Amino acid sequence: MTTIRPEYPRPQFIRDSWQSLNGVWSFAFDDDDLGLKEKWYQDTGKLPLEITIPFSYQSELSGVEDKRNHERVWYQRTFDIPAEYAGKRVILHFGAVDYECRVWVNGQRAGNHRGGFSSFSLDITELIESNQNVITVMAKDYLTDLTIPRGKQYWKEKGEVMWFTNMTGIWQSVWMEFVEEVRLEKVRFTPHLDTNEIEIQSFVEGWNERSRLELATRIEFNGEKIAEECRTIFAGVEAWRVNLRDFNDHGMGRWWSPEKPNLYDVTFELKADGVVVDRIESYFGMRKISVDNGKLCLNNRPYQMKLVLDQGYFPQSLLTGPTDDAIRRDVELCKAMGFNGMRKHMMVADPRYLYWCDKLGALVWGEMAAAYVYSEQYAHRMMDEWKEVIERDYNHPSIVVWVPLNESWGVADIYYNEQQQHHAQSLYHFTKSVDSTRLVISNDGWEHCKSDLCTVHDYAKDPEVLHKRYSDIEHILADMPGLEGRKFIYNPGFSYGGEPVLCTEFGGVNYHSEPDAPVVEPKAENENEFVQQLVDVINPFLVSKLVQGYCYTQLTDTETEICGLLTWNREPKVPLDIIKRINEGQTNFQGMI
Amino acid sequence: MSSMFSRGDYPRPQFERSAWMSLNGEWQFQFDDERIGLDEQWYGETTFAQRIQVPFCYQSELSGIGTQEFHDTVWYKRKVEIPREMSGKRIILHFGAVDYSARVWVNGQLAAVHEGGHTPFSADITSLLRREGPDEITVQARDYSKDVTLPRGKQFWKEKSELIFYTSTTGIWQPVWIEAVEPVHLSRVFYYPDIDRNEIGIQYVVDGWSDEADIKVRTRISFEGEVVAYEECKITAAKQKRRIELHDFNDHGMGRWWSPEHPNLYDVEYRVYVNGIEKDTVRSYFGMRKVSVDSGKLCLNNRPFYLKAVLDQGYFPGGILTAPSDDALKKDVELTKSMGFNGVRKHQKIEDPRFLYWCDKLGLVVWGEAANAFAFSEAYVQKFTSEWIEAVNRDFNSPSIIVWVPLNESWGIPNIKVDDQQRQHAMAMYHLTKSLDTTRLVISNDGWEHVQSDLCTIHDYQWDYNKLVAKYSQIDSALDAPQNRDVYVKGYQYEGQPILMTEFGGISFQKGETSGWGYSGASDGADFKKRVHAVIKAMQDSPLIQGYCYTQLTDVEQEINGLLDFNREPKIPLETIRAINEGKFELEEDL
Repeated sequence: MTTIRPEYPRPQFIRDSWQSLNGVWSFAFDDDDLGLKEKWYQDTGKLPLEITIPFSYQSELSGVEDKRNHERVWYQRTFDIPAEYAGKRVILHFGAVDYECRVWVNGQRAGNHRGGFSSFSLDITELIESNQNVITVMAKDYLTDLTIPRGKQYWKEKGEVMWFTNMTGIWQSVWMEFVEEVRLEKVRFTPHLDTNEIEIQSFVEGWNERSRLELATRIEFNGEKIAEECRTIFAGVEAWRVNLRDFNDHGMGRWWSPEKPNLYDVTFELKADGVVVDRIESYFGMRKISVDNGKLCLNNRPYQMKLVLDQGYFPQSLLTGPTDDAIRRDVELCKAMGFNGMRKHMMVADPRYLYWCDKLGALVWGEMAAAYVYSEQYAHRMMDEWKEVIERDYNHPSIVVWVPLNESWGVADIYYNEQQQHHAQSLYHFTKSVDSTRLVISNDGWEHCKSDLCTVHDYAKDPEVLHKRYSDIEHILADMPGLEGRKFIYNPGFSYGGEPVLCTEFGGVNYHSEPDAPVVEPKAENENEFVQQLVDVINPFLVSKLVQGYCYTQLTDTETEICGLLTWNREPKVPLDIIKRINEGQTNFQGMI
Repeated sequence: MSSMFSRGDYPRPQFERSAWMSLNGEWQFQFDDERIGLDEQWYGETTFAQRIQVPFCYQSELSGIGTQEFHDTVWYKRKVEIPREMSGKRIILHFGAVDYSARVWVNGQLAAVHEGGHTPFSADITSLLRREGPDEITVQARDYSKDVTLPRGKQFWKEKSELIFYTSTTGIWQPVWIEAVEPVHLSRVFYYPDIDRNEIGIQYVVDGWSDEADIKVRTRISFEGEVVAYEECKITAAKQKRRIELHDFNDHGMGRWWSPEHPNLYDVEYRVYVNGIEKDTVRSYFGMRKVSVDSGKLCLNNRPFYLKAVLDQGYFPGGILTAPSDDALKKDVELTKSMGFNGVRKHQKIEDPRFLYWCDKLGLVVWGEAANAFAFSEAYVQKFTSEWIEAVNRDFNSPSIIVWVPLNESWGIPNIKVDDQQRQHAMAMYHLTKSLDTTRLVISNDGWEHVQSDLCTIHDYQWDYNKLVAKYSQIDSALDAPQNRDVYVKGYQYEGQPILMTEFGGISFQKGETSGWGYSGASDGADFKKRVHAVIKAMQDSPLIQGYCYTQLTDVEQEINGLLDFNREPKIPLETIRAINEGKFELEEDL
């Protein structure tokens, strides 16, 4: 078994019968587009390089570390089916391949996928040969095409300003799992806090009327049995709700929150004619996010969000977490600094990240990686990828807000272009139509169409300006803080309707604590100045009667950006406890630094 | 001894077990006008001289006694042989209804006490039974014939009935029966149909639950024989709720929702297992239907629904409040439907569950109305509230019931217009009902002097077509004190609720010689038809009114304004009434 990212890649829905394909693969650049013509997928030995999966070739941990643009790359490796899984169906899973790919198994086409941030899987059973199978992947990225969803990946070879090194090809775990013909394909958990019910939707693959299928469900909380049931399956998709009987008051109860990340454990057993054919370990959290009387509420109580912007870049591995521990550590650091959540910015988080947020207690705003230029083709692709993302992560209690668009990226002309407004509106309504449990922002920062929250981005540094601006909504709408008066908060035809106001990007205080960090002006000169500037920008939102939450920019330095609270290597620039105290409202740190 | 009116049909058709035995039939009986029975311990060895046919009250002919004199304390006694197959099980003794209060002894030991003349009660009598030989059940029932603060409905407070008030009922008037259950059994279920999501919510109430045993309930839901859900869940608390999605497509007249036109019912079978051994089997049913008000429209299953109801008081010749047979209940539903009505307001009576069963089964919506008292007091509030809670609880699962009417025409709250305490009571009944049942509409005070109600319901016995149409063509005139009563009392007002005329007509017409009473009179069959047509047509022609309830289904004693006579004989052809309800006649010129 590999030692590279060896942990289970889909922690929300666990099967025993799996095998990681992370590790060393053969690799080739194909700048001259010869691979297809020469049918590199038909034989082994045609790929001259080696790469360590799941790291992209641009990253150090891949072992390739080539920062130049190579738009077409090939991967190949062999694998065996362990004897214990012989005769089962073989599903090949890819966590993410940027941007599109074709997959062959033993020289035969197994499938293809488009979309660099969403997961996909292929049933390769018919292509398997008894031993020594070969898997070949060709990935294509379009490094200078600004109409494909790319997030912070720059369209030039070297990162600049707020754009970073590109990534190409496989960048999340590749793995196989072994299943029966009849299996539980997925479940959807919808918590109904108001009635203390969990709604379970089961998707049974291979359902048929010939055999008697039963799904047994066991729900436990900290080892205590909460519900146990077995139901006959009459259709591929079924839904039912289980009442969890719980007393939630006086700090008791089993609801999920960042402060009390309570999770229910669930075991599913699918039986065909009485024989267990599939077994899944899963979990869910009971939590509700809502807007009630203009108040942003978590579990029906007003909740102040204290978020930090997390772009998820790592020095040696870019968007791929180098280890599961590193991913976990980011969540722990955020919490240690007094934040109760993260806006996962311009990337779709690794499911392990969401797992640790569920487990350790952190809210997540799930944001799509943006494109930068609008076209009809972009709209198609964006929609395809976004719907895969929200479906994949639907069960994570940590995710409370969906952000399909940010700062008009990809819809640059939205203020006066109705087509782009329709796009933002369609994303808003589409998201609501497939997930009625979460809040949705049509365009985070400014130029909103319909959004469930009024979110503004404001990099003003003067506390007096911030205090005054966030004293009432008229000031905010008039000031247009986004780009200092050049961006309306709402597009024509849309207006503020009493939504909770949050400042979801601000701060960005530059301070480099390491001698070799790039110099970006203006910047804090020393720790004292840094802390004072943090107080200046954070405290106004804590004391504002209007603002119900914020998202500080940002968690770590990233390449050319030095506005992190931590360095890129996750070293604190000032003690974590100081940041925590700032988030708690302390303003005077004299003698503490 | 059994008679043709033994009422031996299963008394709780919504929740049916096979191990049961009817105790209807002949009982010993005794008036106790001197009220000496308790002192003399009549619940002991005493035998009673009279005989009565249970479940008929002594005032009725079918009881075998048939006197309308007031006897406010009466005693019943009979021997019971518990069938061999029931031995070793828990024996539950059930009373459908005993008016007004009851004490029950088994073998001389007190087994149950109940107050409230229209609601059922039961007692586990296992520990009181003899090891051998027959057991003896004694019942003392007390009524308070002249106490107008008791919930009594149309039972008159004088011996001879007058106008709209009828002969009293005292003591047992619904079936008495026993059933045998294991210590762990399903004591009942509650259904919460949610058609918006096509889910059925089920609350299981398990008697004898403990967390030591492994208790499971297997639920099988089928529709016309096709199994649509089959599941087993562990019972982890005495009350446990879950919801099950039903796969169904409802459009183009297809689907399995319940309506008067398509009375679709899902059949349910429950089996309870304790440590893997089957302990209980119950057969039940539910209907998927929703009643709501949407944008000012009364809707059934999310579509506007025009109510064509008839007022049904549930009085029967020979049996008074007790139907002589299950067929008689079924026949009332069939007659109502064949006259083109789609609903019934069951007036001032909590009807026998078999009636609701036939409404569920044959398709008729029901307004469930309490039997009211006639004077207000704090003691009344307590008694009435208790009884209403039991009534709502008993009939919670019937899909046919879509509206609850705790109060009618300010009965029991005669000063509601000027008395804030009585207004508080009406509001309390509205909110109490909503808090017990979120699936149905509630009327705080049907007819007039509403406080908060989900529908604006008006009673108006005007008989003139033109006056009715003129009044109910505009909202201002419609709300202008019909019957000289304000529609809303001080502090409450019309806020766009659907308007329904829930009592009107009341046209008297007697074919024979005897004279009777009605709100307005017809001289012959043709005149009767013309008058019925005129008032119903007026409702149909009103742009405001979304439904009506015609007074009334049958003559009742001296009240002769039924569409049928007291014996359920049509006064004019059923098809004629049907055609009127269907709006098939053009208005005759002379109306």
